[in-house]
Amino acid sequence: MRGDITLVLTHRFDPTADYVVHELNRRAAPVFRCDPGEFPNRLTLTASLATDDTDTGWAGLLRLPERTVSLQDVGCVYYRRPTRFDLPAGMSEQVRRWSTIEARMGFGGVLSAMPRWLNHPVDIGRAEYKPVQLAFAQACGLDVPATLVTNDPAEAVRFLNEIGPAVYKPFHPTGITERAVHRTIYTTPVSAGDIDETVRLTAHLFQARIEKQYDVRLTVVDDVFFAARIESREGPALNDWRTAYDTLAYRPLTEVPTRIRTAVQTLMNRLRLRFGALDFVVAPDGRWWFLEINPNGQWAWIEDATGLPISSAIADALTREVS
Amino acid sequence: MKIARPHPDDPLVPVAGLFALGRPFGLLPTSQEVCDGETLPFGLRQAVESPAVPVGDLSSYGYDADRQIGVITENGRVVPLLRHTTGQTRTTTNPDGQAGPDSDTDYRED
Repeated sequence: MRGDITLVLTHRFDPTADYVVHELNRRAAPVFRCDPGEFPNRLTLTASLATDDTDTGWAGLLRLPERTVSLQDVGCVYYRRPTRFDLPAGMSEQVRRWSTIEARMGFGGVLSAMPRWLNHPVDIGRAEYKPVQLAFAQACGLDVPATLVTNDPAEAVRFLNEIGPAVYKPFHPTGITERAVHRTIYTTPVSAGDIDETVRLTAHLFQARIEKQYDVRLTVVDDVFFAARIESREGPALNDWRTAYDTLAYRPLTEVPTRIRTAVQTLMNRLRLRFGALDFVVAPDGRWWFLEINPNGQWAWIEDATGLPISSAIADALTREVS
Repeated sequence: MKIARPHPDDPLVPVAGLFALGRPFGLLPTSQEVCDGETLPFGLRQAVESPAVPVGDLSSYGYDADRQIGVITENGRVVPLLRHTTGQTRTTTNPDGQAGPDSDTDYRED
């Protein structure tokens, strides 16, 4: 039937996507799961542009050895963790680069033209820029900590002297691995005395440190909100709960303040997102401070820890009929 | 077929961001090159060594093509992978630090 198949784009060992596929299977809702990483070796695409007056867009097939889906039967596309194209061994670097671009613009281009996504990759990409999120969140009425982006050490010192307790945080959770040693950068307390000329070497983000009563991971699927309170008891987790998962305690929050709910919905609309995993700090005075939004964030561990039915809400969103 | 809404011109989205793709599962690139102190940015000076979350034996992973979900062999039994998350935003792979398949953020290949 036209438009009722969910297309899931992710690699084969993505347990978070499994939660959703499992739920769709339970509902007997049709699913086609594939990974662009299987293109062009296992995954074949054929698409032709409509030529009659009764239809528009691309018609054709996505074909794996074990199953096939008609593009016209795809309803919503769930963009999870697709991997890079698997081009034949033996290509030179230049040929591989060219072929990758062609695959991205051709295979990715046909899929990008699909009408319904959760979320569209372009929207994810744009929303992942932390300065974009922070500016949009502020414009939507959320409280955002004082923030400086700079590669000027003197400006960093001036900012840190002005605002008092502060943190440094990376724009992207990318660490480095040198000689098999992996290092990660978490949110780190910083003061003016710590600043040196190495700030000049790239862009840095400094932010006022908000005194914390607890953290909130707010997962939003369309207009459904799932708020989980995260309590970190000690050590570095007080600055960044990702540093010590074993010490965290979770429980569902039944109430999200109306002002926060309204502002978040506006932010989601402005960022063109149907799914988002937002992080807030709630201060001792009860004020919610926006830290970030993860447009393709993880959520299965929150469902496991709290019982919040996020996978069910995503399945609802993927199969919801639109006029 | 209906088509996607047109996207406004957006200088923040490079070609590589138009259809971002990550690293294959379990692939762990690394470098033998070590940056000296003078060229190490302030941000990276705040980095802490973090042990890789073990992926486990990759040969025990499988895929159920009928149910379209990952599976893992455990004590001779094949069970769904989804019951084996570690409960983190960074759960399994990529101790190279690139936000990987199970990180909160997409990793863009180029």
